[in-house]
This record gives sequence, C-alpha cells and structure tokens, in this order.
Amino acid sequence: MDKKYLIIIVVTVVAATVFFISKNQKNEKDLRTHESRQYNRMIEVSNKSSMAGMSHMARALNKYKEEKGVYPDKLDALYPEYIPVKSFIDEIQWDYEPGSNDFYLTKTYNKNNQVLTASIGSDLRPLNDSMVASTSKPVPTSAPAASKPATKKPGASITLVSETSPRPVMETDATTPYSSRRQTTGTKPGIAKKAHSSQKKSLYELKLVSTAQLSKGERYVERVRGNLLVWKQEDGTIAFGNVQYPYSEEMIIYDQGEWIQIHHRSPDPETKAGTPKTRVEKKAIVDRLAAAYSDRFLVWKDPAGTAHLSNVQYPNRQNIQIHVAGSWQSAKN
Amino acid sequence: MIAKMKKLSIIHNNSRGFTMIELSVVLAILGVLTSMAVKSFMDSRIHVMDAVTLAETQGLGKAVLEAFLEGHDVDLTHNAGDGTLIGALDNSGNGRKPLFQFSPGVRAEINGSSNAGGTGFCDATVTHSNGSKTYFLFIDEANNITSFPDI
Repeated sequence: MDKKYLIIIVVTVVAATVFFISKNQKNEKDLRTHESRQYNRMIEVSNKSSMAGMSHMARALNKYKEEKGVYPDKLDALYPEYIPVKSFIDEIQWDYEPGSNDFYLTKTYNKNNQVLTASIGSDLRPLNDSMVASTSKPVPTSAPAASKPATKKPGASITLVSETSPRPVMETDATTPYSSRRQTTGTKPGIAKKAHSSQKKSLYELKLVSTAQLSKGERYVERVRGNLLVWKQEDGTIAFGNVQYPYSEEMIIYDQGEWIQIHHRSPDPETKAGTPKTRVEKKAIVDRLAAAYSDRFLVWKDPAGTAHLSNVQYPNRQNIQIHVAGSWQSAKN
Repeated sequence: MIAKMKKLSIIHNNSRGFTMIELSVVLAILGVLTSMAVKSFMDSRIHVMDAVTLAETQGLGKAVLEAFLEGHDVDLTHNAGDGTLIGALDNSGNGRKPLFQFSPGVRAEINGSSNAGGTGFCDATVTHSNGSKTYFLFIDEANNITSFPDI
C-alpha cells in the first residue's frame, strides 16, 4: 500500500477515536453534573421536609431487592448502581435495617432547631408524617457516644449543651406511678425499669390510665425508643425528645412496647401524690433536687416554686429562678 | 486523421481512473465521518429526549400544584410501567379525570397524593426511555416546599 494512503487512514482513525472519546467523556461529565445537581437539591429539601428523599431511597432498596433477591445490609451497597451520588447516602441521617421482605428506613433531620424523624416502608407509604423532638440539635439515632458534663451558663438566654449529654430515662415501677426522670450515667439511654428511689423522685408524678400495643405503622418507634423519649401529641402525631416529655395533663407515652395513656396527677404545687405538702416541705424538695442535679443539668424553678431540669436550655422567660453555684438567682435576659 | 487519433489515444491513456487502494481509503474516511455524524445525531436525540423529560416534569409539577391549590382528591402513585396517565384515581381508588398525561416514552415513578387537607405531597422521578437524564420533582404542600428541576 502506498505510504501516503496509510498515513491518511491512520490520521483519520486517530481523529475519529479522539472525537468519540471526547464526546463520551463530555456526555459522562454532563450526566454526573446533572445527577449531582439533582441529588444535591434532593438533599437540600430532605432537610426541610420529612417526606423528601424517602421515596427515592425506598425505591432504590426495592430495586436492589428485585435484582439481588435480598435487601442490602447497608445503604452503602446502593452506591453507585442504584444511588449514583454517595452524598445522598452520607449527608442525610438515615437509619436503616433490612428485613426479609421489608425494611425499616427512617430519616432524622434538623428543622427550625427541632429534630424531626420520618419513616417509610417498602410500600413507599410514609409510616408517619413527622415527629417533633424537643432538642435544639439533631440527635443521632445510632448508639450514643459517652456523655460529657453539661456546660451551663446562667441567665435566661439559650444555652446549648453537648448533644451527647445524658438523655432521660422513663423509669417505671410496678407499684408506683410513672415518673419522668433522668438517667444520670453515660450508658445507653432508654426506657428502663428501675426501683423507685426517693432521691431521684420527680416533681411530676404520673398515673397510669391505660395501655395499647403498637400498631403496624408505628413499629418504627421501636427503632428509636432506645435513644429518645417517645410520646403522642394531641393530633396523634408521634413525637420524640431527648430532654423531657412536654407538660400535659393527659398524654400518651411509649414504654416497653406499648402506648401508655397517663394522667398527671395534680399539678397543684401544694400536693404531691395526693398528699398535701407545706410550702416549706416543697421548698426543701426543690432545693434537694436542685443540689442533686445542678452539676449535670440546667435547673430552674417557675414562679409557683416548681423545679425544672433540662440539658438544653433555660426557658426564655424572665420570671424564673435559676440554680447557680448552689443558690437560686433571678434570670435576666 | 492518423495524427488526430494518436492525440486522442494519448489523452485516453492519461485518464486511468482510481485504484482499489484509493477507493478503499476514501470509503474508510467516509465511514469514519458517517459514524461521527451518527454519534452526534444520537447525542442530539438524547438531549432532545432529556429536554422533553424536563418539560414534562415541570408540566407535571404545575399540574400537581394546581391540584393542591384546588384541593383535589388525587392519588398520584405511579410506577414506571403504569402508562402515561397520572392521577387517574382518587385516594379511595375510584376513577377520576387524569391530572396529567406524559408524552410517549416518558416514564415516571411517583409517590404522593393530593387532598383537601393541605397535606398533599408529590415525590416524582421522571426519565425517558430514550434519554439519559433523570429529573426529580418534589412538592410538600404542608411545608410549602417545591423543588422543580432546572436545565
């Protein structure tokens, strides 16, 4: 073959190869950019809405199950075939556990300084709309880290403590009313049965009214109850908190696999468990509680003299007294 | 006359045509150029399909927003093989006028519903059978969140 023809053919083939490679790379880059933008937007709305991203992740899990026969052990297994952008798995706080024919998938996120959790089943139906927690920082639903002492600042302004601060425990006793308490150790928080202790006795004493089992759509509560307090709000929405139950005369809390309707027995500051107390006796109880817990929690008392504990913040009110360095001081904004 | 014929013969001998090698080279170059043109055409077609998908996704979003605003009772649930009609059932499973119809080839997976209670939501993933890109649409009526895809 003539040399000049050979050169022409080689040049043409090389040019064509470069053309195809650059086209493919450009298309690939465009696609990656597009996917990245789409998923970033989804991550953004996932931090605003309980339902955003849930269906997408659930569909990816269902597709994985269709092709491989089982649900993946971890969400990471979905990358890159089913979820092409890793940050969608990493940047959203998922809590996932596979089952044989179903899975548990919950998403926890922070919105307006509230922790919200939503969950979805393999049928792509949200198990619950949203659940409000009472912390101002997100609470990991995985096993908590070791607790640190709470750092406090006096005053009525908001003071945050470490999100790894000890979380409360609903301690129950078969012979006494339910009492909301705090767990004072750094071990895994949860709802535990412990003997009633006068030293830990809460000012809020609760009376058990009735119990009910979890419905099928509420099974996800089991997944988070070890880390958070769980209760039902008036509209039936399930709420979580890692500080305390909200004050309500009638409320439904979750404990030991069932919903427990409780009634705050007498919010009257002069009575406790049906036994009248004098102001002096009550003040002594409040002072004792404050002394016992002030090294770990923020302690304040309202104008009625009732003590309150928190590991997050003081209430934004001026008419409270806060317990600082062993004495009560008026809060100032 | 003889001289004239000799002259014509010389001319004829000079225009000898193409060799097989020359023809092969030209055909090879034409083949390469054609494949490049086809590739460009296919890419353009994919881009057109993606543009159609984007437009359809935005159209679906507008239809869903209207349904939310008017408080229509619509079950938006849709799987990739469910056809082109969206929202042809209400939340009780009864038939209703479809909310939206996709162009042929557009496929969507939608999870959501519209209701009069102001808690409608729509989480849609839309793609085209001949396209390359997937577009996400998310609308949460209760939280007033709309996330439409852009170009």
